[in-house]
Amino acid sequence: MKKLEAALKTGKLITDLMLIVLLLCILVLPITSLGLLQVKKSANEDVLSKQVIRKDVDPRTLPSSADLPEDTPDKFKDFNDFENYLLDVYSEDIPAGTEE
Amino acid sequence: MFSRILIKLIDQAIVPAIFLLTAKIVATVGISRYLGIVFTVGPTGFVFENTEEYVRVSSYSTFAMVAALAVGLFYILLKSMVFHDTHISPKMTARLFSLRLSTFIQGSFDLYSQGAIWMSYSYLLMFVTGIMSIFGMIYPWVFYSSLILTALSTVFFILDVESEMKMKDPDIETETEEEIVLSFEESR
Repeated sequence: MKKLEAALKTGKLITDLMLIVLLLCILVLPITSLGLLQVKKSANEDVLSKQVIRKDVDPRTLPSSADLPEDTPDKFKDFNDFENYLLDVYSEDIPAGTEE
Repeated sequence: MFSRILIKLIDQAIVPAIFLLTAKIVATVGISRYLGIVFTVGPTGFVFENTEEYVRVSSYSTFAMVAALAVGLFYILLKSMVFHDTHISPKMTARLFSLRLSTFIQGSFDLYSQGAIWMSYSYLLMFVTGIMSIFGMIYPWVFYSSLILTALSTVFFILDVESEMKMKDPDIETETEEEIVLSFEESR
């Protein structure tokens, strides 16, 4: 009899907790509608904005310019272009077997 | 088996939730059309072209939500202050019965459960608009309007509860001031 009473109490407690969760979910539902509105975000927005700043990269103004070859162009199309150029130039310095 | 209060609260929470949600969606579409702001509907919601348009539509639609909440709160407060079965005057009761509007007269359990739900929405909306206002997602006046609504409705709700308590126990004030002197007979 005691076991049955304990089980009933536990069952009631669980039911009440579930009802409280359900109530909270219902209460939060209209508030979540405030997040329905969004601003259009370009997929490459962040990357592009960084590239705009670095667009006209003059390699000679960079700290490592002393190590650059003499025939390095004055200007690059964008940062990726410059990055590719650096990879080409310094690929010989990377020890064999350590490339990714 | 189930808690009567919880069941009642869940029952009372569904209609206001749908009402507020509808107000927000309808206001968003209506205000965007009225202001000539173009938006697209994606899987995550309404998408606007730029931040300025987003802030404007978000602010006005949230204010519409606050207005909808004000309507609901006003209705509940009116019922609890005027049509409460413990406060209502006999004249008003007779008039409501003659107009076949006796359903307006409600008891404390119904009114306070409805009031608790609407007040919860009011507080939740106030906190969320406050956070959105801090982050510049809505204009600050939307938060202030929500704050004023919440403060006023809380005051009126407390006033009603106080009058209810006085009604239930008219000696509630005098009882606290009453001095009780206990006298014991000498045991022999």
